[in-house]
Amino acid sequence: MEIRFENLQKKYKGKYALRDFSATLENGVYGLLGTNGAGKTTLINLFMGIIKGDGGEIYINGQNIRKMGADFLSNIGYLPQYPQFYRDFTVTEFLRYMCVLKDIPKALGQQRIAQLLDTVNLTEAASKKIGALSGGMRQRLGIAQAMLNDPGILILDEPTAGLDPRERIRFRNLISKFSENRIILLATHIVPDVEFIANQILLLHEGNLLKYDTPAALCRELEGKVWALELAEADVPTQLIHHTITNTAREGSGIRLRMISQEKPHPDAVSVPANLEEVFLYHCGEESV
Amino acid sequence: MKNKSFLPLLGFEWRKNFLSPWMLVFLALLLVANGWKLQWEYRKEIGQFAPYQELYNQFYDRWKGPITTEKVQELMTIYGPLKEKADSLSLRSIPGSGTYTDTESMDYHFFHFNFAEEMEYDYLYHNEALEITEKSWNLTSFYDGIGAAYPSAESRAFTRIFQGRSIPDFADTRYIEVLLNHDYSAMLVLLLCLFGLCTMFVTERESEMYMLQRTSKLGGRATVAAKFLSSVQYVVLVCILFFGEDFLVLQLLSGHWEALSSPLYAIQLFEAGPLGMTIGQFILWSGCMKTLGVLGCGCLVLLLSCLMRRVLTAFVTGLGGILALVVLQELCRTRVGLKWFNPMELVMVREISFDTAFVNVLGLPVQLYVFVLAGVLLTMAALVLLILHFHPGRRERR
Repeated sequence: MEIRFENLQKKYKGKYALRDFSATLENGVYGLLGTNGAGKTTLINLFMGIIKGDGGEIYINGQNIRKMGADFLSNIGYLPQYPQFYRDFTVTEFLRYMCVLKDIPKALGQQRIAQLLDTVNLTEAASKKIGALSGGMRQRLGIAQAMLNDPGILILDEPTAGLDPRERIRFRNLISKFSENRIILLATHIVPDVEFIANQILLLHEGNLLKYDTPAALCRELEGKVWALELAEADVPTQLIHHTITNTAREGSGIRLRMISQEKPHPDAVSVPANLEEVFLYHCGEESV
Repeated sequence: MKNKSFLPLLGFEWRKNFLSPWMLVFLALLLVANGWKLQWEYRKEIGQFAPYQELYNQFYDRWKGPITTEKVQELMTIYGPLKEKADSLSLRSIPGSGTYTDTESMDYHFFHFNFAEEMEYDYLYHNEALEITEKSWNLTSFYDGIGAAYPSAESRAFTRIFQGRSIPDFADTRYIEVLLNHDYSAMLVLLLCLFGLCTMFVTERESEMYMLQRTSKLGGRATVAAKFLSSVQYVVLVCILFFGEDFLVLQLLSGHWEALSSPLYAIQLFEAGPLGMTIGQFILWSGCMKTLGVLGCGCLVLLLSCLMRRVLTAFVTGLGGILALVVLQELCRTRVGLKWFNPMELVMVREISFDTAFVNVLGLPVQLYVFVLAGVLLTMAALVLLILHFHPGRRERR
């Protein structure tokens, strides 16, 4: 499976939401990372045909998606942002409805529903109404419906927004489970969601693709630019606030700082390996947090 | 898309929009309310004669059917002396012997309103129709003489409509008048139409399901088609339930079926009306027209459901829209030109069936109800096109 984006453009009232976006995706998990308004949802909506682009082309396995018609959707699984679904439907009823919507034959649909409910650990909630589900259970239902047609391409838009850490971990594990032999595009602004499971990161900022590489490679680019410093609180020099401080932790009467700086910011600062969050902050231009 | 996929899709639309428990309970309650109102209206129509239903049935069985000289003489034997006393203001209002009801005064009113007045109208209608036919024929000749093509065509149409009209049989039409003037069921049907249809598209937006529909194989046209068909099925079913109840309840209260085969103009309200069908045919026809009118209002509600983002605003605007159509229908009683696009005109179809009125369409006289029917169908087509353009599940063409 291969997706190729060529020079995708989208403008809203003269301002670019996505500009000259080009990338090739093959089987694996891709983290689409960016701040709010970076263009992540725009890219997804362009791909899904929810909105019309102002330029560029998209190809799946060499075929232009404009020429694929509705069959294009048979190989896609999609989980939008903030899904509410139908509160009065039970979990099973809803999945049956989605099978009908995706034109999945009845017998196959029943089989897939049983399998997926087991995989996402919702078998016991099968006859519960969706309105009675927790946020995490609803998101798991969301990924189950996206997987009904066993798609070659799975698109997840901010799937962990509003979930507690335990549910987020559970969700990440599900993504890993489903990642075999398919392309998973996971759009998020929560870095830990992709840090451990993404094969490649696409970093978007203000509609532009800034970086496209593995998490390890992106972190290596910041070698010598991330520093750790331990000081007593009274000794923290004021000029440090001009650097991008990525973490502040109190240790007894002192403070432990992590910061991004082109040069050593303090004599006692120690160069440390960057994490993906720092890569995100570095490229997305946060002056101070 | 195969039928195998469409039927389940249709089933799910019913499940989403119409088959909630509260909806079914609401429907049942409104049916009960309608039934109660019907019997109340019927008893109000019968009025002071309610205690004499058996007496009425006794004489009705004797005099129903073809109006013959023997029946008229038999009626006049009873009614004649009572009328003379009424004219000379010497009817007694105190109970006495030799009366059919309790008093002579009540006897007079009983026979006058239930039999004499009706039979006289039935018997003399033929002469009135003949008079109208002759007048319109003379007018046709006059207009032909001065070269006025449209007035001539209109007069000719009048002649065709009223030619040969007569009411040979006497039948009990009291419950028919109640039925045709009963607007309560139409109001309830419109309310149910609003409740059922206002959520059709807006819930997809509110629940963000339209995103999944837009990105699913059958979430576009197939889903819209299922929504339309389920809406039509729902409206038709509700109309059959309520309008059918109207007829059945009144029929059971009356117990008489003969009026169904009488001509529509046997009801004095339709004395000058254009329709030559029987009362039974008119009940069916007006039921169909009312259903079409409700469907027209339903299309407006569906469009508002497409445009709004919250169920509450869809409901409020839908209610406002229907009320606006009702007010417009009331305001346009005499303004023919504004009737053509309003589906409420079909819901109140008796009002465009009372009088024989024509609209000049390219020099041809078209009957008002035909003109309104065509106009409402065009309006519905336009609303459907707008819905197809604005429904939330539509995909952008790449």
